[in-house]
Amino acid sequence: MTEQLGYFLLSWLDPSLLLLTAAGTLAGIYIGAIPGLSVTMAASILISFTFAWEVNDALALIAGVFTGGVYGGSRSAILLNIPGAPAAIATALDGYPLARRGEAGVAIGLSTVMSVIGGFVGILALAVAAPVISDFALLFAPRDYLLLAVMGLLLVGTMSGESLAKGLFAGALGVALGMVGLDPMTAENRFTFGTVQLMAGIPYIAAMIGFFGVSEALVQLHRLGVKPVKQDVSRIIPPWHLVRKYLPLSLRSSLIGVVIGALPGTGGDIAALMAYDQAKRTVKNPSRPFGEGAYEGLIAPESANNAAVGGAYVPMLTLGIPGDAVTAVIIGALFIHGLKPGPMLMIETPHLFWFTVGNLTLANIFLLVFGLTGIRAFAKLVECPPAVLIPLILVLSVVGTYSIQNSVVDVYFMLGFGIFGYLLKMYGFQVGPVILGMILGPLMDVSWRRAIISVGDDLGFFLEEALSSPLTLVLLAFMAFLLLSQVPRPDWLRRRR
Amino acid sequence: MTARPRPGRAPFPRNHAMHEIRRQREPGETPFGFVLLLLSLGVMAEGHRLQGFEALSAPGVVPVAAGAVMALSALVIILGTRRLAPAPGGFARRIAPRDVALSVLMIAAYMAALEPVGFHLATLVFLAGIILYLRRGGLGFALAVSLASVIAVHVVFRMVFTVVLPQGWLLRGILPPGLLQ
Repeated sequence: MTEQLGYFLLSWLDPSLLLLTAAGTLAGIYIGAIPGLSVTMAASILISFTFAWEVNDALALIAGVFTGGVYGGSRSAILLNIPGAPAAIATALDGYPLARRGEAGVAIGLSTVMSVIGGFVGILALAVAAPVISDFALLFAPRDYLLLAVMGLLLVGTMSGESLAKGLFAGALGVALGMVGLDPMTAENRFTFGTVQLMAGIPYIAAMIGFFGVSEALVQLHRLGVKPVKQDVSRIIPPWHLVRKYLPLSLRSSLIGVVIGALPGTGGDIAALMAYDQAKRTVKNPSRPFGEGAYEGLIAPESANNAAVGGAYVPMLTLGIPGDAVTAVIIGALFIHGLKPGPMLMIETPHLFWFTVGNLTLANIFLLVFGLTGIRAFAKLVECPPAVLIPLILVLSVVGTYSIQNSVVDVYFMLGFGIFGYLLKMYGFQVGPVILGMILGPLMDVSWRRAIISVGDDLGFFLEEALSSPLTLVLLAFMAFLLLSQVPRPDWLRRRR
Repeated sequence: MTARPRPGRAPFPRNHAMHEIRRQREPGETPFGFVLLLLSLGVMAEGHRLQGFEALSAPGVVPVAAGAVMALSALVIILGTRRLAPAPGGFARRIAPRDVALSVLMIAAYMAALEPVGFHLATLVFLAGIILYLRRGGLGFALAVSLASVIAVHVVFRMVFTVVLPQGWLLRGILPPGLLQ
């Protein structure tokens, strides 16, 4: 126990580790907040110049960036309506209307406190329940991964404000885009049309920056003549009564975040959307209608996405399976340092596990400190004239995209996705489901094929197996509930109620 | 030099917030729906080419399924769009106004110039040009902001993150070697 506590406090007591964690968290907040810069990209770039460092130093910096970056995305979502990261898509739904009402300071303060609460819940789950959750995740069969992916898409599809059809189209389009490249099972070319650049697939970061950064910048060009709402960030520390009032919701959402984060492949983005959806369905008297600046619509996703950070470490450290894109990058870092993530990691190097738990806790403390100070500096960006801010966002988008592979082709992809995303937005589509489809598409494809191959391509046997699995049945029931809740009730049923 | 006021711009009538419900048909919305339908059919056709129907585990099954969902959704979208009342104003005013169209052209030109003239010069010219255009004036301000931005990006990306930015080959031999590298 004393030994474990020593590992836990390692980064707290070592000045260089303490400094690296603080620097990583601060950098993460701003990287996550700046549209076009993603925490995945930052983590990837960091790994390229930290591989010569001590493993603890590298992990401390990356854990700080991860924690700060997931939270930082909420700032641009609240102040600019541009989610700095996919995990902040749901945050924008109520965060931005709050800012437009002049409550940007309260929104940022609440999102900071709730993110930290979520972060602590995630870490607690990582420390206490890691073996249990990893055992549970082991029970998932390929068909369950398939259902989870479909469920994620249905979920974002149903969140499309204008129509379910537009949400489903966007999600399916993302799945189709995710199919581009060499087939992972047969190495057959899919949608490459003989182009070498497409063989590795659509560059995901370029697509994300195009769909979120460029398209939003183009949409904002319509508002050059409109004076931006002056964001009131004078009150940064949220009122205590609000924190106390929404603590139960934050804890509930954090639990969703932990569970979703711990599921392989599903990270803070899905956790935040699910928590938002759950809050929308369960909160009977929100402070305002959802989508119009409800505190509940801000608190649920912000608690969940930071809780998902701790959750995402569980399968990574215990099974060697990334919980999300960033932990996939961290697995790469561990490999570079000669460590093999998986069940043996916790047996052979238990110090690494407790060091990570302690380091994440420290990063969350820094998150609280940095999150509640220095907000005005970032909020000043919003007061910057759009005629200056928009070109700067475009340049950052170009640099961010170029820096991934030093490829101008990626930059062209980004512009193409940006223009397409702009048209989609102008015609009432959302681009969030497209990006999610791109992430979940390959997972769906591989899971479906593994599942159907395992039963000899026999659909009847596949269904029989699926219907005899309690886990699959639960997932199917949830999906059915999700779909039925979106279908308008017939008049006679409404009359009876 | 100060920025001139913008000439009689009609504010864009629609809030683009993610949750907003639209009730009018935008110009070009129906043709866009048909383009999406064609795209969906293309996805299905390519999926079919990949033995989409030969076996349930074939590489084309998920693409065919995705294409089918896209096609069905596109049909529903087209039918729904046709029921909406048309919004006033044409395509050029509501969807591709001059600011958007020219900005896209400037971005495309900037991207094309990145490799020949290098990141720093291309960014300086692009930023100064687009800020000057969008503010309708203010050359000194545009140049100052552009220069400060290029320096900031250089410090953060080139020096801190050690990102290799395009150096350009067109002006090699003209500019002193090592400048801004």
